[in-house]
Amino acid sequence: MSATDVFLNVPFDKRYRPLFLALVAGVVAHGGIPRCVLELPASRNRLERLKALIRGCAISFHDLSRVQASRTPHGSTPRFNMPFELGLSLMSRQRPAFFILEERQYRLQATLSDLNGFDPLIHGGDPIALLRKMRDALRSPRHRPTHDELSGVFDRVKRSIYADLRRTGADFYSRATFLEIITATVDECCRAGLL
Amino acid sequence: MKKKATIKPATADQILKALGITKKQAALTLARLQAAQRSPSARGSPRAAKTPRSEAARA
Repeated sequence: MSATDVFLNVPFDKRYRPLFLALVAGVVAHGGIPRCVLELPASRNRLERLKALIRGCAISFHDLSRVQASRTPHGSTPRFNMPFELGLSLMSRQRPAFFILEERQYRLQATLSDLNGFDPLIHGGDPIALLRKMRDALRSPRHRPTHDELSGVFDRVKRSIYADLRRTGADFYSRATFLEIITATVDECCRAGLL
Repeated sequence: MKKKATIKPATADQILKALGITKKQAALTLARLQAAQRSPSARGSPRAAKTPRSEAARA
């Protein structure tokens, strides 16, 4: 298990895209390696691969802001992926360093009262607020990025990834785009002198 | 849940390597991203991109 690998457990919806980019920027700017279920191919042993991926990460971020019923072809169904991966994360590691992200204050008490007493990081759906929270949550012995450095990296990566998506119409939440986001973020962090 | 977690920082090469990204792939990706930003359609939000299946599945 490496304190370099950081597992990102987040909802995959359109509104979350900038927050996802902010999470990746925050992790990479601190020298961490963002890991995510998007890396995994859809296969029969996906769950085992997911467990192995989570076990390899000493730090994790879990956004529970979309734990709510949503309309699907099967009616109004709740979303279990994020709390499920949080459970896997807590059970598969000893003394895990984990952070809960929420959009709204006090909502966690209603959705997951087992975590009463833990303070979630409230981002309000704002990627810049999320970057501030990540800066508070993470520490790197090499360099502590300033808020301006973080938001600069986020801004430039967002502009370039969005331009590419607009041109190709590619799936944002795919393995290929995830690797592109990592590549662009690493490049911007290098340019900013963070890596 | 910890108040603060310490990352053991990796280098740029280590981050790319951990995710299976070769230097050649990274160079090609960056060249494509730069080209996309120079294209006339680069301004505005990416609304043209369809909402893909993975988003519908997990959102």
